[in-house]
Amino acid sequence: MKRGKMKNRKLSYVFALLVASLVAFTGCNDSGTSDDDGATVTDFTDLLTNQVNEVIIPSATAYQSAMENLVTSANAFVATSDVNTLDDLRSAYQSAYLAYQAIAVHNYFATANQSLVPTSNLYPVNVTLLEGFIAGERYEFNTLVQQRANGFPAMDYMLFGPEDVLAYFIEDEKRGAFLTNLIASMKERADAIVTQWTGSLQSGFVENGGTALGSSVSTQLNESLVYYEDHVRENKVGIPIGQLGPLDTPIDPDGTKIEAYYQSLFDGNDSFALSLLRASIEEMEDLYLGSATSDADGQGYDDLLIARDQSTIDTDIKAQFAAIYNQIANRTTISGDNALYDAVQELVTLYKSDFFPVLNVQDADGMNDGD
Amino acid sequence: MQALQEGANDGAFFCRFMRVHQIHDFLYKKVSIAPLVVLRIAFGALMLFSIFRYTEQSWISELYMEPTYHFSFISWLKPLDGIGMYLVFAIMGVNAVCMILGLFYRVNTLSLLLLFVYTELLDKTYYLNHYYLVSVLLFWMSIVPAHRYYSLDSRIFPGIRSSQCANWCVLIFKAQLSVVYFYAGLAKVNPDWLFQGQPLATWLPGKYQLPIIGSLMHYKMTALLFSWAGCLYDLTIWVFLLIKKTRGLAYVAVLAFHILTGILFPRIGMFPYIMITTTIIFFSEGWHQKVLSYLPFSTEYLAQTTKSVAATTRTPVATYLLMAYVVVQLLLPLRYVVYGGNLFWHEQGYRFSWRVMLMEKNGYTAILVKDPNKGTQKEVRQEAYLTPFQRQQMKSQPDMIYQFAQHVGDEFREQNGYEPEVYVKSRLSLNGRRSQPFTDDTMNIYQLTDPLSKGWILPLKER
Repeated sequence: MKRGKMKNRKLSYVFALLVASLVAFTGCNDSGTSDDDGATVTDFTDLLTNQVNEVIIPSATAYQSAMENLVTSANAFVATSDVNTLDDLRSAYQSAYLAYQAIAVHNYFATANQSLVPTSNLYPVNVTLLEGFIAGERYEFNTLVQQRANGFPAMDYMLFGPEDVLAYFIEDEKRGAFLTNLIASMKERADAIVTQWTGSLQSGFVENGGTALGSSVSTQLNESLVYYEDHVRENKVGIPIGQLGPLDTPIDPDGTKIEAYYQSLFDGNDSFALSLLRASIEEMEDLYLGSATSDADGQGYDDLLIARDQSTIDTDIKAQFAAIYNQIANRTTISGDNALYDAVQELVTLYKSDFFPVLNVQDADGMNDGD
Repeated sequence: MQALQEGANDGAFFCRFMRVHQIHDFLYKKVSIAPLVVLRIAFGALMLFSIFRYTEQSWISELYMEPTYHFSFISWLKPLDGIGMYLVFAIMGVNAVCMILGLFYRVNTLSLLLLFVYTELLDKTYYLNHYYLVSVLLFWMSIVPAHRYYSLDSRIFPGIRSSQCANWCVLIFKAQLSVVYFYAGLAKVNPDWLFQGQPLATWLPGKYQLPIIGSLMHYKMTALLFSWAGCLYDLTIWVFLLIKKTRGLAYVAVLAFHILTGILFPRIGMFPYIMITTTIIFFSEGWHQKVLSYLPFSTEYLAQTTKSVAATTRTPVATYLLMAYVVVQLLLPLRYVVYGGNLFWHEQGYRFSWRVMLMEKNGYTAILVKDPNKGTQKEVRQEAYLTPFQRQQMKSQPDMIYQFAQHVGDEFREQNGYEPEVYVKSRLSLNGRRSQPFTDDTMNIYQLTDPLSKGWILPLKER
């Protein structure tokens, strides 16, 4: 009897606890919804809408139309190879290469699915490999085997490498054929990227809220920073100046490893390579500010930091972009002292140590248990 | 006079001995073995599940086979080649099954303990407090006679059958879990946790999509409430589990607390299940008897006549050892006091102290190798040596940074025949503070012989 009573008492304790916690939760919930303070803090709809409509899609379509021009110029050049058509082709190539820098920063979701970066811009180009593909009329632009003879670096060599570029194309028709096929494959990829971003992904990107792993905010910030670390800091700057690398392959400063190497030889300076670098940084900044290509300043991550009383972090990040532009403006070659590398690297540190924690965006490192 | 003094000393000694003797009697009092048997089965099942989970997530290859470098606790300890590590986990699986069945119990629990500790010592990256807890619990499981009842061993060797065991065999688990909770709570008594609500204030807003409570997650008040509740829970729950009157309600709290943290922070992995499972040891003998009676073949096994096992020789040595263990457990988490400074910042004395969920630390740590002959300096591309998980863990833990710096320094020396200089340039943020330099990047840490030597880790400047 006594046991039964005790049991009952225990049960009623548990029941009371459950009821109490339920009441507490729902009660709090009511007061939570009636208070709109902080709506901007967890609701990323405006930010993501602005990112996809004003930053990502404009970059994708700009690249698409630049590739359209490039297709036209390349066809015209192959039909009639002369100084004028070559000039046109070179200038269309440069515009496309610059436009590429912007969309490549958004190396996630559709852009990553289409393998834009590994098929478009791995350098230095392997000229022997490239000539092999041209001679064999092999066009495996979507496969790994052609990685070092693909995209813009292949064009850089073909349009600026040979001593007499016109003669180079005229003496072997296979070269023109390779070039048009290469550009056609890149155009196809640009189309696919635009189609995907303007398809269901456009609204899907906005709906994928929160900052957890896999959310749009986390993916955009993490993947753009990974791109920045690997392809901007390391490939564009670190490797050519000999600043970053494993010890077993000692890297010394090597100017041949810069982006657009053959054009730099042709021009006698690295100004185009520096422009490409600058274009990447500008897109990183646009992503941060949420500013459209038209320079209208939409809701961006800067606004989010300010809304969370972290304007000093915002100030530091903006100052760092300015410092990088300053370093780029100060030089005519990528190689030189470490100041450019340090400025580029500093942005990584600011993002990882100050910016990301405010949004609770975790490094995508390791999905293992933690404590 | 001298004789009198000696007599007094004898008396004092005798009194002291008496007290030890009383403790000894208490520890060796015969109690029901049922709690131990239930714990054996539950803990064995937990181990089996954990091992299965490791395999299922392909962590064996990811954590032990793929990395080319390991932050081992003991320098000569390396993962096995080929199928070696798979074999280790397979054996552990078999051990766990045998533990559940109580089959060749001593050999299997000892093997499970040694292999588990081996996998844990291979890389500091994977250190988790609850794996340390599993290690110490396995240690005690391998010592206590949890196989003398409701086990295959008791069938094969009827001589060992017993429905009783010494009190300490059950007490040690209660003591261990109490220490875990108490120190986990004590670690939360710090300004970041109690007054800033950090790091929960950083983590919770990301959980806004949770049903019902989601809309509260971005309030600082919620973080503070959770912080205080968590701290009080850890500090006191073990007391309420010990007291018979409050035990039922306390276990409901255990369930609620650990399920909630499991939902909020899925990355804590097995921790909630380990605590929910092992705290059943606090329940009464009767409760455990009842649990056993529900298990298959219980009528057959429980009806076995059991011999009373010969009383253990009453040597106080074992009592002293038990007491010494508890004292070590009580002192180990406090060793950080010796190092001074902010523990969360320099993390010296952080491990093996039941400190969980206390830090949000972020930043970037660069290892720079300088060739003193050429005057050139290069940042080591960490991706070439370390997995993302290893890099992430290393960047804020000085002993790992030091270990890796020595490794790349040694590699340079082997390649070039002379010593390099190795510098660490690091900036981190801690629990909502702005980032600040973590290391003195002008100090050549390749020359330091002691990773704990002060100076190269800069002190934390407060808000």
